[in-house]
Amino acid sequence: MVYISQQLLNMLQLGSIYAVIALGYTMVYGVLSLINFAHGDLFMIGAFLCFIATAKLHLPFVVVLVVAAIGTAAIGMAVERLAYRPLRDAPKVSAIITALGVGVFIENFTLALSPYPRHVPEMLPNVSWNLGGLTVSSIQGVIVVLSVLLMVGLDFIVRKTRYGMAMRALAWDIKTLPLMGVSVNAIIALTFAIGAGFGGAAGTMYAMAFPVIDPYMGIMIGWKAFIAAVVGGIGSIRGAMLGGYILGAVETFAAVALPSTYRDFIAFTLLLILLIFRPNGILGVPKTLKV
Amino acid sequence: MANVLLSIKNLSVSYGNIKALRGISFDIIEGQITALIGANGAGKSSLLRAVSGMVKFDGEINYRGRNIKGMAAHKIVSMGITHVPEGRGIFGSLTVRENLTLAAWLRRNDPEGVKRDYEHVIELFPRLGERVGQLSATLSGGEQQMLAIGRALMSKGDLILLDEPSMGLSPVLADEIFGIIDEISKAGVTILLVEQNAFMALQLSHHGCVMENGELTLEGAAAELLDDPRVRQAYLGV
Repeated sequence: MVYISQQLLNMLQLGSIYAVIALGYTMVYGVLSLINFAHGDLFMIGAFLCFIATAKLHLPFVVVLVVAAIGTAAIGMAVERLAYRPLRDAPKVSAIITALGVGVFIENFTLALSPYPRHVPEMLPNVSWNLGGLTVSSIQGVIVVLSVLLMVGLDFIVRKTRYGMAMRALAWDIKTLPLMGVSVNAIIALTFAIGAGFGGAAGTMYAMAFPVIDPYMGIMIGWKAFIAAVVGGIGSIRGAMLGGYILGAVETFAAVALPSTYRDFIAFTLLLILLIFRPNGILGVPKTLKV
Repeated sequence: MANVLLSIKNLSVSYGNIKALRGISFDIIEGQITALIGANGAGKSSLLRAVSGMVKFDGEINYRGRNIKGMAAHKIVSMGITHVPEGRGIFGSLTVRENLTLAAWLRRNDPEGVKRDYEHVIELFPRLGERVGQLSATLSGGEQQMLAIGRALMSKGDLILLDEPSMGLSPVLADEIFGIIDEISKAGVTILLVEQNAFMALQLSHHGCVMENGELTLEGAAAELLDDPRVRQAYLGV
C-alpha cells in the first residue's frame, strides 16, 4: 500500500513536469496551429539558465525560477520573431521544418558553449517528511504545487483576461483580429513568451528532481511532452495537463511492473493505442476546417 | 461646408497577376452614407480591405488628410476606421459578450464609455442581449450580422466600412439592419456601405458610387443614381 502510494507520488512529480511542458506545445498549437518542435530545447535552455543562476550566481530558488522562466520566454519570443514570423504565410510544412531546424540549432549552440553534462546544485534544502510510512520530499512537494499553480494561472489567463480573449480570437480568425484594433504580432509574441516561459519553469523543476543536465536532454522529454499534449488533445489546455499526468502514470507504473528498460516502449505503445481510439486526443475536438 | 473625411486617389490593388482595382478615385464626405454598388467581383470588398489595411495597394488613401499607406491594420483602427468585413468575421469561439468587449480593445482608458456603448448595443439588438453568454458560433446569420454591427459600435470609429450587411438575411431582417445603419448615421458616424442590394443601399445613402471590373464607372448623389437609366437597368432590374 505504502509502495503504491510512493509510486503515485513519483507519478505526480513526473506528470507535473510533463504537463507543464505539454502546455507550451498546446498554447502555440492552439493559437497558431504550429507545432513548435523547438519547445523541448527551450525546456533544456530553462534547465541551463537554472544551472547558471544556481551554480554561478548563487541566487535563491524563487529568483532562479523567475530568471529561468523569463530568460526562456525571451528566447522563445526571439525564435518566433526571427524564425517563425517570416514564414507565417508560408505552407505549414515549411514552418515545421523550421521548428525542427531551430531545435537542432539550439541544441548545438548549447553544446558549443557547454559540451559536458552539468550538475545543478541543490536549490532548496531537501527535507523528507514521513506521513504514515509514506516519504514525501520537499522537492516533490514544490514541483507538484508549483505546476498546479502554473496550470491554474494559465487557465485563468486564457479564459478570463483580455489577452486570453485575444488569443482565443486569434486562434479562430487571424485575419479579422486586427480589425478589432489588436496587434496580431503582439498577441503571438505573448503566446510564445508564455509557452516558452512554461518550458523554462519546467526546466527548473526538472533540474530540481533530476539534477544532471545536458544539451540533448530536451529531445526525448520534449517528444514525450508533445505526445502527452496530443493524447490530451492538442490545443486544449486541460487536455495537456491530463495528458502529462497520464504519461507520468504510465511511465511510473510500467517501470514498477516490468524491467525499467521497457518503460518508454510500454508508454509509447499505450499512447499509440489510445490515439487509435481517440485520434483527436482525450479532450480534443475535431478541428473544423476554416477557409 | 462638406468636409472630406476619406479621400481615395488612383487606388489600385492586385492579387498576383489579377488586378482587382484599377485606379479608383473618390471622396467620402463626413457624416454621409456613401453606397458602393456593383456586381460580384467588381472590387468592392478589395476597396474596403485596402482602406482598412488588410491588403497592400498602390495610390493614395488619405484619412483626415493623413496618408494611411503602409500602416498596419490595427493602427488604422486606432485612427477611427472600423471595418465590418464580408462574412461578418465573428469569433465563434468567443461569447457574444466577449466579441463586443474585444471590439473595444483600444478603449482601455474609457471603461465608462465602453459600458455605455455596450448597453446601447444591447438596447439596439435585444436578441443579442438574450444571448450575451452564448458562444457566438451558435448564433443565426442575422444575429451574427447584428453582432458584427454591434462590434463596430463598440470600436467607436468615426468611419464604418460595412461589407454587405444584408447578405443572407431575410427581407424583414435586412430592413431592420438598414434601419439601424440609418440610426448610426444620424448619430454622426460616416458610413461606406458596400451592397449587392443596390436599391435599398441607394435609398439609404447620400452619395453613391458604381463599380465595374475594378473601375469606378458612375458617381453622384444617391437620389440621382436611383433615377439614372444605366443604374436602373444594370442594378435595379427595372
